[in-house]
Amino acid sequence: MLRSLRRRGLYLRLIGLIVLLAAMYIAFMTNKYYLLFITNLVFFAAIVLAWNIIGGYAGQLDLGTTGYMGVGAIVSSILSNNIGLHPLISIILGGLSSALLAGAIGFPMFRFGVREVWYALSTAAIVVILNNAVRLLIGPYEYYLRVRPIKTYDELYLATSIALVLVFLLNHAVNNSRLGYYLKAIREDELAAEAIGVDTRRYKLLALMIYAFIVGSLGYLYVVMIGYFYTYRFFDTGISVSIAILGIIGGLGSIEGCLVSAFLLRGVGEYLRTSLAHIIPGLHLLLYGAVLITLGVVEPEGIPGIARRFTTLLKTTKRPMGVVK
Amino acid sequence: MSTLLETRKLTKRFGGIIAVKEVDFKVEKGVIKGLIGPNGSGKTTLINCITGVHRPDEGRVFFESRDITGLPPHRAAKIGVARTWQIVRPFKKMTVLEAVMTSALIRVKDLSVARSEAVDVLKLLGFTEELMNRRGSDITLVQHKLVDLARAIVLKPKLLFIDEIAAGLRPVEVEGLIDLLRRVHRELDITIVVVEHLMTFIMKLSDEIAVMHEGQLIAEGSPEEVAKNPRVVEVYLGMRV
Amino acid sequence: MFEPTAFDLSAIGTGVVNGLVLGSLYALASLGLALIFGVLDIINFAHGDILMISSYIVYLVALSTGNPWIALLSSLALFALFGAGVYRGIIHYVLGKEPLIQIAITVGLGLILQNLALALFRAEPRALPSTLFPYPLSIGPLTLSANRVFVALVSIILCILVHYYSTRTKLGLASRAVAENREAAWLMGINVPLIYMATFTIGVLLTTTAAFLWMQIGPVDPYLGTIFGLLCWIIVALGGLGGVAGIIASGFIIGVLDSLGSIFLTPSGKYIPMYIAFILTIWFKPRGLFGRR
Ligand SMILES: Nc1ncnc2c1ncn2[C@@H]1O[C@H](COP(=O)(O)OP(=O)(O)OP(=O)(O)O)[C@@H](O)[C@H]1O
Ligand SMILES: [Mg+2]
Repeated sequence: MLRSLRRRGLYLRLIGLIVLLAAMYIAFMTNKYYLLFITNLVFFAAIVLAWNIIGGYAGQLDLGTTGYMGVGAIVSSILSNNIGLHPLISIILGGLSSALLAGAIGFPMFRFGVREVWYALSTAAIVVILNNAVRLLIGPYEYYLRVRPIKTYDELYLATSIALVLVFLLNHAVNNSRLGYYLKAIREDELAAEAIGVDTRRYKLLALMIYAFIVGSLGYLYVVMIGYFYTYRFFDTGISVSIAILGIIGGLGSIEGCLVSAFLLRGVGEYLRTSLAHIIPGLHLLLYGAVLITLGVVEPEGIPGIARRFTTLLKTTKRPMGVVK
Repeated sequence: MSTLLETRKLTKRFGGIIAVKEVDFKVEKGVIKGLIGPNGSGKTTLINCITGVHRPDEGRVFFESRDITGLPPHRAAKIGVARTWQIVRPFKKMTVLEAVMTSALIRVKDLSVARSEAVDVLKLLGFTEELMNRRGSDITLVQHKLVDLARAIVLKPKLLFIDEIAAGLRPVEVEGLIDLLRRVHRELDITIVVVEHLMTFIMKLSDEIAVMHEGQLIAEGSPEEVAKNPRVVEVYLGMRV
Repeated sequence: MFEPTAFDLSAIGTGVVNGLVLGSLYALASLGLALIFGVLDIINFAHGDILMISSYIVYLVALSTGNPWIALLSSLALFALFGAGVYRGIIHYVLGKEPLIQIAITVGLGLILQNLALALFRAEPRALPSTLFPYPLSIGPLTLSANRVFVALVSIILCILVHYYSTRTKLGLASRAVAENREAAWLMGINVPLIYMATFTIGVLLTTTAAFLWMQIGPVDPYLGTIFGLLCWIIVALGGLGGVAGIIASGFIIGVLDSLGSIFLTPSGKYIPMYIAFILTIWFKPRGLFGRR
């Protein structure tokens, strides 16, 4: 019974997400500018949910998002654009190459017990290295996609929405699996997780590679979205940091929280960025900063923490009303 | 009776300190063994070396006649060596049930089976349904210690190290805990090594007792023998002065 | 790829000397971070941005008064308040919390500082029109600007003073005791919260001084903090904790790598060896190249 209830909960959430995506489309479909704007929101919501697997569940403060996204984007673009592979196959191969890179980096890193700040700094440094390496190897050029499998903004929105739904489902699958329990235990206390038999190195690596695979495959959509593949400019530590920020504010490991922060906070932030950039540049980042500090001081558990406070507040105010009745 | 665990000349140093010094520690299958000693005598470090948390500098560890020296903790846990922590290491953002389920999921693959096994163990330890669904951040220290115990028990280990669980309990609760541990020992067939400063607890619970002092094993035997052992008396009296 | 520029010895010599100058400044800039990390166990990702905003203050005061020393003194006074305020208003709440929360909150602070600077001063780099000692100085075969010599000397002297502070003075010894064991320090009667606030403020003041020196040799823009932040963490990682000597040595290493890299590699290429060295150090020598603890 418990099980079917959970399933029902999942269906409801899934339907909720689809309705939200459809409603956003209907609201903005007449305006190409806004349609691209919400496509971008949906895209980064998927990225934040992917980050949730390594950052939220496994608790590793990964700042390498744009590194994995960039590698996936470049590999899949070259494969489909220059070699002529089918886009879907290119996407998968792009994701796989990101996952492989993540494995190659993660294996020694977890082997040597790199964690916390040092993990965060290492992953940020890898993005910087990739940025400079690609700049040296390919140069400061931008390549336009010749093969464009997605032709209209509406198709792009649909594709991005499907990607988000897939990542959403994957998050739920992880959440309700052994892997999810192991990862959460690792996040809470790595040594205690080891002591109950969790092979922490192996599962951290698995989480890292899953995340890198998703982010790497999403890279291709990003290329389609912006129309060409930047080379080195993919590798942006600033964007990586803001992804992690959204995941943290979303509450580590909370799927709904991540969606709320990716849509609401990032939505407001992007709106400020695009509409006020010429008057006050960096306003969206100022907003992120203020939210981060406020939450860090008041409610370190982020959006789910706030939600929990609300529900307990509601519960405690409900009771006397029931008595009156 | 067969030997379940044996250490040979186990030594662990931290910088200049020799925390554990050439310890030959033996646990027979099916006993409850007490491990006592003044603060800093190396009890926790000995457990850490056996369960893979620390790698011993010298000496070897045998479990069921197999050399397990330097095995990582998760491997030790899987072959049947479980432990609790002197300083609790809670999973704060998981519920009590989820924490214990995680542990159960090491053995069983299915989520609902793991859940029911976790519920059984938690009930055995006296957790109500309401308590099981509280988060780790919302329970007391004593409850944490029991969750820690539940996480270890649900692994169905062959050997269980319990590092100071009775501290902070009231006398009645200590009695209850003794009964509980006896039940765990008997019903689940777990050999237990228990570290504790509370003498009444150790004396009542243990079949035999080992005494550590400054990293070395200085006495072993039945509770009565140990209580009469002049070196033990000296160490403990020396401590009191 | 790599630009093979004139490969003569004097270029290398100049590069090394400039690297040592930069390195001593980097070391000073990292000391505050190391102090805060070591004593408070706080992971401060806003460190670089504190340096950046200090640089702006130094710049503004120096520009408006025309006197760099007034700029130094007034920014020190201002940042003493800033340090204590940030400690009480933010850092205090995340003492002993999970690293992730500390990182998040300090990233938040850094974002605010950076984007405040961006909003107020825009992205153009700004440099002081005149510096303290704008004349060349010949030392043996090398010619250096007197400014750079001044910057290096002051940095090294301050580093040595910090070493004396932490090994000889009452406050320094007390803060080391707190770093070793907070509970024991409490029991010894050390006022731990006071030590924390003092240490954080001293860390910020060291950073402000580094900012003052930086303004003598370089420009400031809102992104200076990002570069310095990573650089300082690299130096703390290489130096390990616990020793001023380790910080100075790794400051020198990074400074020389930086300076030689700018001579022999393209601007982007120079970061590659530096960051690879950094990653390998973290992976293989988690206690730093020279460090204890
Ligand atoms: N990780 C460590 N690093 C350095 N020294 C340690 C470490 N763990 C233990 N020690 C030292 O080793 C010695 C033995 O400590 P241990 O914790 O094993 O004693 P114990 O018998 O469990 O004491 P208690 O009854 O207080 O728990 C002590 O001197 C302690 O300070
Ligand atoms: Mg102990």
